Amino acid sequence: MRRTLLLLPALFLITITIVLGLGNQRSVEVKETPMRERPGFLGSPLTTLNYGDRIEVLGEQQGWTRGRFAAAGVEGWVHNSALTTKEIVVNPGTRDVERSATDTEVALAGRGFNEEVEARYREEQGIDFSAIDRIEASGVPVDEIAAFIAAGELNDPDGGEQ
Amino acid sequence: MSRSRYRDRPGYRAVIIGAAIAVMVMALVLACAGLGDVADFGTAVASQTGVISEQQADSVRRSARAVERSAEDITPEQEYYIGRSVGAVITDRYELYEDEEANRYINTLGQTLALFSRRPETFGGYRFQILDSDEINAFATPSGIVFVTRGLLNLASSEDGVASILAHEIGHIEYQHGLQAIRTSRITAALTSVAITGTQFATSEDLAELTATFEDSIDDITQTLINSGYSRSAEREADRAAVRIMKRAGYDPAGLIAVLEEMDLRLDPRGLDFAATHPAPDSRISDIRDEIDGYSHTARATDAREERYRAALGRL
Repeated sequence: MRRTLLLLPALFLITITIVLGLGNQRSVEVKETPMRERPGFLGSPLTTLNYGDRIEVLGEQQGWTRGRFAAAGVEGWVHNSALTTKEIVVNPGTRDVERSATDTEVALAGRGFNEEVEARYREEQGIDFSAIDRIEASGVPVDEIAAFIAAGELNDPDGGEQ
Repeated sequence: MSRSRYRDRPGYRAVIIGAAIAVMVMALVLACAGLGDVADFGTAVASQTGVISEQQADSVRRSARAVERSAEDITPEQEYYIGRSVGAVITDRYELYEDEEANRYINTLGQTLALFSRRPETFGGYRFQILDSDEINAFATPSGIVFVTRGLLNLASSEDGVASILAHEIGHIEYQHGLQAIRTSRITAALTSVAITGTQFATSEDLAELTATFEDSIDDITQTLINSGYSRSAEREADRAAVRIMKRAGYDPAGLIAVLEEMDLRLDPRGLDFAATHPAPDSRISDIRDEIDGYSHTARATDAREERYRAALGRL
């Protein structure tokens, strides 16, 4: 009897783990981010995830999450700084708005300070945003960064020294 | 009573199954309950049992939510829009330095350093741009656009020195110092406004109201960046981040000290640039020496770094 009773806490923990595991999802909280074959910035991407995309967590390792992106049937690695535990709702409806009012784990995409607010601000202030748009378009491709690191004899960002 | 006889007792199995089901249900309930739900549940129980009135319960729920709003509650998407507008104010006041090779170099170096930070990815990514000004100044806008003047870059005499300047600015973005300059009342107003909690902008007044809050928030940040400066502790955090990022990347963190020593020589104490917005260079140097001590770096400025640094920034 005593031994059987000892099993009850174990059963309790197992149930909690299973239930939490089912909901173990992450959302992409940046405009876009690559899903990679290996946990590292310099590897080639399998696919690109967009803002609000949900992945199911399969594992974690040194700042990276391995996940399954069901919508494209792809499994790979995404850096944690691009992910949130929150659910990000793109094109939220009334029900989502209600949920977000009581649940801090729900965020609405495109709400608050957004493109519309920026446009109005731009108009009111008469500020030119073309320089910012140009600067924003000046991202450096990952192969150029890899070459820059190699030529400068810098450390490998994926080398585990993080 | 032997164990086997105990097990054979009628009803024993039913008790065990019952207990197991009870335990699983308890686990299920606990696993599904979020912390917010617990707070709501607490106030619901308290109001139903007559401890507090329904009105009081409402107000508890509201104030609990209002207190929650701080810089951390601003989503990366909103941080990005704030950053773009702060950047636009800066490009409105300063001329851009139009040298493609120099900007490309700074941009590549900065985006490389960001990979070694604690926040390699932001909503729109990191970008680095030189401003055509002799002032000794730099501005890190929320979410990742960094501006640095010719005057500041000229204090460095190597790639490691330039890296220290950019890594310090990445530190400000990592710690979200810009967002923290926004008054909390504005953040609460913005994050609880109808514009967010409604399904759409109900009226043009809603949009006007939110835009006004946005404008005030941009002002808070640009005032801090341009006029008043961050707190001393924020600057110390950014300096520490710079040292950490440089060590990880394989740059010599002493490059930061070399830049600060040069700054100490050239900074006009009455100036409206770093002199007004940053702690004195010599005090920053003594603060970061401890961070650098004990770092047995094998990193030495290489010929390749020296060469590309001179090629890109030699004309500044």
